Parts: sequence; structure tokens; C-alpha cells
Amino acid sequence: MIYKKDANFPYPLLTNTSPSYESSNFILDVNLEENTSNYRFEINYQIDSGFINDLIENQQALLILVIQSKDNKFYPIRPGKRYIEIAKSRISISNRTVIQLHLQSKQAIAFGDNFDLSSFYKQFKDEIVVPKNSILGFSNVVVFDGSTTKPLELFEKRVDPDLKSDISIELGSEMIIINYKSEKLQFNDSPMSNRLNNPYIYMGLQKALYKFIMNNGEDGEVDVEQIDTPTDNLDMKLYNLMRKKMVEEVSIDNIDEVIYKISDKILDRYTAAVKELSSDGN
Amino acid sequence: MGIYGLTRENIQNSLDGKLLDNDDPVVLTVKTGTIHQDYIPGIKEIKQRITSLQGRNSYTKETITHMVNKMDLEEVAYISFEDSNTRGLTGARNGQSDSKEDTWAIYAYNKGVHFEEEDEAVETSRGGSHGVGKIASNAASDLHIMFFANCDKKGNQHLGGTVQLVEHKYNNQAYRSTGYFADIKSIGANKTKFYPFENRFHEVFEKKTRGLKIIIPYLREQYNDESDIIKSICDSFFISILENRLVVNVNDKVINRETIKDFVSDEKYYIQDIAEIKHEFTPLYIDTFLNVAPIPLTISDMENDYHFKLYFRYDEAIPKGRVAIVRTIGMKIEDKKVNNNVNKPFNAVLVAEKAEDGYLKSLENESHTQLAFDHIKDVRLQKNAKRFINSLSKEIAKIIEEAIKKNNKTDGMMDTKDILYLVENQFKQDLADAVATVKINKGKSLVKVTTDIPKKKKKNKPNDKEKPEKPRKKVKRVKPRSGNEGTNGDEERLKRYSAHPDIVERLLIGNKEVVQFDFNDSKEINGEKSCNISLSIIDGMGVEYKDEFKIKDNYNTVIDGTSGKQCKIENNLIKNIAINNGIAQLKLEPKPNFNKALKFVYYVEV
Amino acid sequence: MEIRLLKKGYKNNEQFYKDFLEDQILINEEYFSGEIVFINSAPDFPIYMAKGSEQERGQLFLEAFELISSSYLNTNRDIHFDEVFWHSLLAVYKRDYLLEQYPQIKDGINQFNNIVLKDFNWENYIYKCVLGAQYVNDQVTDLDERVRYYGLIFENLDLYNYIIKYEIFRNDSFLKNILDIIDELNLSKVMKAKITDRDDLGADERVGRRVIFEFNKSYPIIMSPMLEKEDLKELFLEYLSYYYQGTIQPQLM
Repeated sequence: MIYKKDANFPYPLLTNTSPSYESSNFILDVNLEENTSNYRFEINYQIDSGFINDLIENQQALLILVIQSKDNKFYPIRPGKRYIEIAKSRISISNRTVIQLHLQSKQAIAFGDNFDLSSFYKQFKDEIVVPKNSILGFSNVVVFDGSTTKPLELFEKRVDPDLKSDISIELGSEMIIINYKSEKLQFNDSPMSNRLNNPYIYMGLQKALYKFIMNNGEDGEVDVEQIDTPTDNLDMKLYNLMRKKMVEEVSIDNIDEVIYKISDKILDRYTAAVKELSSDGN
Repeated sequence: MGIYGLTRENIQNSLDGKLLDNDDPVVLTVKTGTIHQDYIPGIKEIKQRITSLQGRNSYTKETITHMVNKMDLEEVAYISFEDSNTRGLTGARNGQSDSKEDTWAIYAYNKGVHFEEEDEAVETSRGGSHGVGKIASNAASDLHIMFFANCDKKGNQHLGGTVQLVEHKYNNQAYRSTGYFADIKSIGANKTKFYPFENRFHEVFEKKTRGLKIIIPYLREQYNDESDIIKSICDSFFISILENRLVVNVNDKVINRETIKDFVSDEKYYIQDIAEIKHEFTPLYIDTFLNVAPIPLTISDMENDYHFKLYFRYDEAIPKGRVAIVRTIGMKIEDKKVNNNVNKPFNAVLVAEKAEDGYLKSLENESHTQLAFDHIKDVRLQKNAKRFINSLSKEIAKIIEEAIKKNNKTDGMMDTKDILYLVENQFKQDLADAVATVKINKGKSLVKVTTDIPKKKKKNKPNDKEKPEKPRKKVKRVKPRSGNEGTNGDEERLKRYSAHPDIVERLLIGNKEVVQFDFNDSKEINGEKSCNISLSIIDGMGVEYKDEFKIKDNYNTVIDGTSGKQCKIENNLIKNIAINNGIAQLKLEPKPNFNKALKFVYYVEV
Repeated sequence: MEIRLLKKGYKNNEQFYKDFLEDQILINEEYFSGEIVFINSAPDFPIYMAKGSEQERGQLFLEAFELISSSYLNTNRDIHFDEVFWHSLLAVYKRDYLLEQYPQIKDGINQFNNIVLKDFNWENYIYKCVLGAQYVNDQVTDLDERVRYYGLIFENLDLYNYIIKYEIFRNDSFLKNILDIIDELNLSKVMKAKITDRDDLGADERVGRRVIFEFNKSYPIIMSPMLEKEDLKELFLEYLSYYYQGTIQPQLM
């Protein structure tokens, strides 16, 4: 099982988010290759602690690759090993596969020589002994998701003459669907139809973000930096967009602000389009 | 016409004067600065004339007053345009001459008449057709003076100049409005002839390498605008520059094929937001020209077909559609508005093939800023020109309509993407940046997302021993939690906050546990004297259990690290822990059945 | 054989149920997505073991484990871990077998949903058996031994359910080690026992579940799936001691 929640552990751990180490980088990158019967996961990692790197080198600590899809697989990564292969009959990547590196102690580890710790832990370093079979750190998470059929698309439009309203915004499994009762509602005869539809995009984003908050949040707010990667495909896309635009938090109160950040001035463009149409003689 | 037009005229003249057997780019150096008026050749005479001018109408009166006001300045602003890899003028030594080859004479003494190239091919591709260049220079000066320094093939250096005054009397003699900076030699009874002075003047007036240099002293204040100069260069000559046929130095700045993009993408000069580009289209033109493959376009008038290359780009973000009409020398003539398509989302650059250049040139209006037919006297030619201009608009309009149709499909009920295409494209781009897609068998695509990587990207060089600097410790705001607040029933209601793990440090050694809280960056807590603390277990999947962990069942003692006193535990809450300088500390002694592998998050009540 | 996969929308669909009863599904193109999966053989096996005596149920489980091991486990996981595959196989190709084995399916769509179209998660008997068969097969090569482990899973079904319910311990070596420890120490009964003296815990708390929960809470400090059996046993006993104070009698070998 991968683990990523920030918490207070009984001793300092090397992770990308914890301040327990002065330079806390435990970075994992994974590339996926395949042949007919196997998947091959190629591993690259970087650890910014000399102390920890020595433990790995001396085999006092063991890197373990955790691959979680429907279930969990653990693979020891001995120094120099760069990939692991798994039979297709034992792993499915058509849904979500989450990968992380853990570092496990192979014997009791005294931290007396660990000069990479933050100042609080440094004062106790001579007393710290991490028992055998305990975790010393964990990396970031690499997610492979094959469940979206259109991984890069967020919107879909449909025309449905039987619609009970002129417009209806539907949240599909991975896309926001804008249903129009007729094509006319799309301004399809205007060269600015793109921008004239922006208010619907806005409404779609609003609805989708609202659901995102319901699905992923507590008390109407979501700490985008803290939550696990959402399992819902639409949420996942919004999550990626928000992270890309450095949105840290989304809540009922700041939905509009978030839309402003993740969309490129859609209302501004809409306003400009309307203005131009009204000033354009033709 | 302003500095913008002046710059344009001068560059055009320089491009016209390009050395024919040399492929190096024409280099134009524009300098602005000040010079002491004593160094300005002939200034004393000019001032005397100005003092004796008498205005006959309100316009000339005003002009004269302005000149008088300005002429006594000690330090005088000037601008100079110096070209190289150009031919310069010929035959200066011959002074006022009637020979067609003595271009000096034509340039220096016959204003407004341009000389014709002997080579017709060169003549057609030259820029200026109306000889307004020189007058524009006079207009830029408060005293209407301009000089031109020439260095010819043989290294002969001469300085000439003109001044545009009004007709006036001086020493009881009537003078015409144009004055020449020249030596007068008698060549017989009542016959005089102008000869230029050899150039031994101040360095501002020097021209030591082959080519021509225009110097305008008493530069009008509103002309002294470097950014307009730069914009004029980019706007009109971006193609010459991108094709390395022109390099312009403006004071310390160099505009060449490599640097022009820097200027065009600088907010100081151009609006960068595509949606706001409504007047100056150069950033769009350059993008279009560089990134779009040209399509051949044939435009016909009543007699001939003319061939052009059209660089056309459709982009819904563009608010005003324009076509840059560009002459073969690389100079843009106009931002053509296509009838009924001025607000269509496209951008285009139309470049004439060499053979059509002469024709285009004949259609330019007097200030080279538009294709027009009004100035053509011959009725048949005028009609033809009109036809050409209309058919140009029509052909481009067709292309625009096609592009709009292609990008705004309306047919088919379930056909999606079209109207959402643009905004969708932007999201797509952002999503593509945020995730990597991997293709696996059957072409099924997989999205790869990497989370929690520290903002500082890893350094890839293995020999880079330097440790990346630790990002400033990020202390998360301690967030209020709504809902059933506080666990202490009837007592005064306290506010409860979750303490981000980053501000808590915890260590379990043997059967001693220390937990330290740093509230220094949490304004809601810092300043309070004491707090209550509770804790929740986090399981191996990251799930929090609020009531799973019982403090009393797991710890023998809980001691306040600041006061050294034992803490009271009530309702699974550790009470009244002192906060000293923003720090609170707990020393705990776990019971034997305490699971030492547990991890927690903490809550604080104040 | 060729399995045509169903298109979304078959679930909770009265018409689909009706067509199933009337054997009309295969002839209705509308129901299929066009995707096809090939497997070498698709024998019948028990898919629903909620009814019957302990002994009967154990026998059904064993049958299912063995048939799944021999015929389905070697397919790609994209197939045997795909709900649509199983639902397609059952509703389209196993109609006669299902109606014969589980005639209650005819009683109504609820029974149909519960037996045939059950969500493919830890509550689904096929899911339980696929996962169990896979873990045992990957850890144990001896055929008789495998049968013994299938038996242990059935014997400790409550704990097995709890282990596979949460993704954290869905792991072959963890399951095998836990089953071994329980077997060696003869703890099956203890694990199933309800905890009665702890009001703070839920009403239906059982010792085994709490022990596994302690492992959960300790993760990832303790990476239990990566531990050797003896290391795991030490912790197991420690966690057990939090909830069970009786003596432990190792099984006589």
C-alpha cells in the first residue's frame, strides 16, 4: 500500500513533504514499458541525504517498490537494480496503478551519524535508534491511470431536442457534458460561437468543482495539496488542472476564484465577443 | 507622421540603397543624444534668417515663434540614422549636376524628386516612390533642419543639408523657403552652382564608411521616443529582419533576426494578451510568419494574375483579423482590413513574389501606408487597381470563411468539440502539461501523474554535489474546524484547530515521547498563553480515526515541557499546556501496551 | 472461447433481466459494446456460496478455488479482474447453469442483481475466490498444500474478508503468513471471537479484525506485507495481547 498522508511519526522520516530532514528529497520517477506478456517498470530515484544513501549502499536499509493497483505488490530494489517486471496475468494497469518507493531498515539503525536531520531532531540524534523492519522514508507517488478514455478532454457537448430545459449541464464519468436543446443555443451561426459558449463552460466548471468538493472535501473545502489523487476520473482532471495552476485550496467560497485560475479568462473573452458583435456592423 | 514614420522612411531609403553585389544585411544605426549648438554646421546663419522671418498668416507666425523660442538652446537634441552595406550617394564632387548618375545632386538639391535606378529590376523592388523621405526629416526638427553625411565608394566624405523656412527677405533680398547647406561657386555671369562641403565636422555628423547618414538636430521633443522607433522598425520591417536582410541598432539595442522576438514579446513594446491585440498586430504577424506554412495565392485584376504567398492562421483568441501586406524588400505596407472580416479571428501575412512587387508598389498611396487606387491618374489603370484590391479582399475572405467553417462545425448532432474547441484546447494543453500520457498496447493511453515532488526540481547532473537549498519551512495555517467544536461541553467554547504535521515535531525514544509544537507562524494560536491538545490516529491508508486513540489508556504521564507540571487529561484532551514564545511542548510516558508504530495528527484548542 | 462484453447500462435494467430469463440477450446486439475477450476455456464453477451447511459451503469454495485456478487465473488481469468480463460471462454464457444452480434468480431482479450482477468487490464470491486462488497459487506450488490453504481461507473467512476488504493488506505473502500464524498457533477460534469487554469498540468487533487493524494503524512504520513470518508473528502476538489475554496453544505438529 502506498502511503502519502502527512502525519507525525514516532521518529524522523525522509519524505518530500516532511521537514524532519533538512534537505528532504526522496524523488521517484517511473517509466512503463511492455511486451506481450510483461509490464516493465523502470525506476529512477533520487535521495538527498548522504546518511540514507550510505544505508542503502551498505544494505542496512532496503528500497522497496510498492505497486498498488487492485492489490499491493512489494519488490525489493537492491542497489543497481533499475527495473522490475510483472506478468500481465498478475497486474492490471487499465485502471489505476500507484507506485511509490519505501525505505525499510534491515537492522536497528542508530541515527548518531545522521547529520541531515533538522535542528529539532539533531539534538536527540544520539538517542535515536530506528528498529529493524521499520520505515525510514518514502517517496512521492507516481500514478498511471488507464481508466479515462479521453485523458485530456474536459468538455463534451451534445444536442438533445428532448431536453426538458434549454441547457443542461451533466457531470459524466470523466467529462463535463453540456447538453443543448437545439443547435441555435450554441450560437452556431456566429463566428464567435466559441466564446459565446463560455458562460456554459463556466457553469460546467462550477458544477464539477462543487461535486469535487463534495467528493473530496470535509466541511466544504478541499486542501488540493493534501488530498490523495481522486479516484473519480472527472475529479482527477480537475485535480490535475488545479495543481497545474497552483490552486492550493478549493471551497464553496472560492469556486469562482478557482475557475478564474484554471480557465483562461473565459468570461472576459465572452464579454469581448459580445461587445465586438454589438459594435460590428455586419 | 512622427518618429514612427520618420524611422520607417529612413529604413526604407537604406534598404533601397543596399549594395547590389553584397548579401550582408543592411545595417542601420539609429542614435539619439544631445550636441552643443556650436557644433551644428551653419547654425549661425540659420538663426539670423529665422530672426528676420515674418509670418504672413497665423500658421507661419506660429511656426516662426516656435523656431525663435527653440533656437537659443545650448544643448540640442538630435537623432541620426546611419546605414552601411549600402551604396550611399554618388557624384558629390560634381555638386549641382544634371547627370542622372550623380545621385548626390538629386538628393541634395531637388527635394521631392526621387532618382530612378538604371537597373529596372532594382527600381521596381525599391521602397520609396514619392520622395517624401527628406521632407519628413526636416519636419522632425524644431528648426526644420536636416543634414546628410555621405561617404561614397572611394571614401569621399561630404556633408549636405537643407532647411525649410518660409519665404522671407534678408538683407533686402527675397529668399525662397528652402535653404541648402552648400558652398556656392560662381560659374560665370550671374550663374552659381552648389557644391557640398567636405565633411570635417563634429563626430555626430561624421560618416566614414560607405553609406548615408541622416542627422536631424533640434529634434522635436515628441520625436524623441526610443520605444516608438523600435516599434516602427518591428512593425514595418519584421520580415526583412527575420530574413536577415536588415539589422537595426537603436542606441545600445540590437534588433536582428535573433532578438526581434524579444522585443515583440516584451510588454514594454507590445500588448501580449492576444485577446487585447486590436491595434498593433506585429506579435501575431511574426508568429504567423514563423509558424505557418505559406499557401500560394493568386489574385487577378482585369488583365493579369499576380502571385503571392499567404501565411494564414486561424485562432479564435484573435479579436481583430488583419492581413499584413508586405513588399518584396520586406517592408509591410499596411494592416489590411478585409471587408466584413475585420473582427474575424485570424491573422495573415501576404508577401509579394518578386515579379508582383512593382505592381504592388504602384498601388501604394503617397505615404506608403496603404494599397489604394485614388492616386492613379490613368483611368484604365485606376479601374484595374480597384479590381485588384477588391479581388485581394475577396480571395482572403474566402480563406477566412473556410477556416471558420472548419473550426465551427455545426453539422451532425453528436459531433462535439467544435464550439468548445478553443477553450477545450486550452484545458487540454494544461492537462497535457500536468500529466504525461503513455501509450500501451491497442493504442490505449495511460495518464501518468506524479504528486508531491518538491517544487524545486531535481538536479540532473550527478557531479553536482551542491545540495539544493531546503525550501523555507512551510508552516501551514492552522485551520479552524467547523462542526461540533470543542470537546469540553459546558466550559466556555474554545476554538479548535488542526495543527499541520509540519509545525509538530514528535520523537519516541524508549519509553519517552516528546512532542513539540511551533505556533510562531500561526497567528490564531501565537499570542495565547496556553492550549489544549488532542490527537487522532492515522491508519496505513491515510485515514484518520478521531476517537480511536484513548490518551489515558496509552500514556502513564503527560508532562508540560515548559512548566514541568503534569497535565490534566479530560475527555481525551490534554489540558492547559503552556505556550512560550510560540512553542508548546509535551513529554509523555507511554504505557507498555502502547503501539510504538502509531502516527498521529494533533488538534489544538485555544 | 470468445466472450462478448456487455455495454454499460445492463445493471439494474428490468429489460435486461427479462431478456436474461427469456434467453434473449445474445441475440440483441444493443447489449454489447463490441469488445471481445478470448479465453481458452470457461468452465462452470460456484459463484454464490451464501447458503448451505458449513461443510457444503466449504466444498463449494474449494471447487471454485480450483476451477478458477485452472481456467481463469492465467488470463490477463485486465480480464479476470474486470467486472464487465464476469458479468458478461455469467449473464450471456452461463444462463442455463445459473438458473439450474440458483433457481432463486427467477424470483426477481433483486436476486439476479445479488447473485449474477453483484458488484465485483470483496463481497462478491468470485472476487474472493479469484484473489484467494491467486495469492495461494503464487505463494504455494504443492497442489495438496494449495488445497490446505483454500481450507484455511474458508475456515478464517471473517478475517479473510476483513483483509481483502481494505486495499492495504491485499497482498499474497501477508495473507499466507497470517494464515500460517493462525494455523500454527491454533488461533482460528480466538480470531473469530467477539470482543465483549471493550465498550469503546463497536458491537461486532472480533479479535482477528482488531489485530489486523493494529497492523493497519502501524503501517507504513511497520511494513507488515514485507516481513518474514517470524518477524510478523512477534508483532501479531503483541497486537493480539492488546485484545486477548487467554493462553495460546500452538497446534501440535
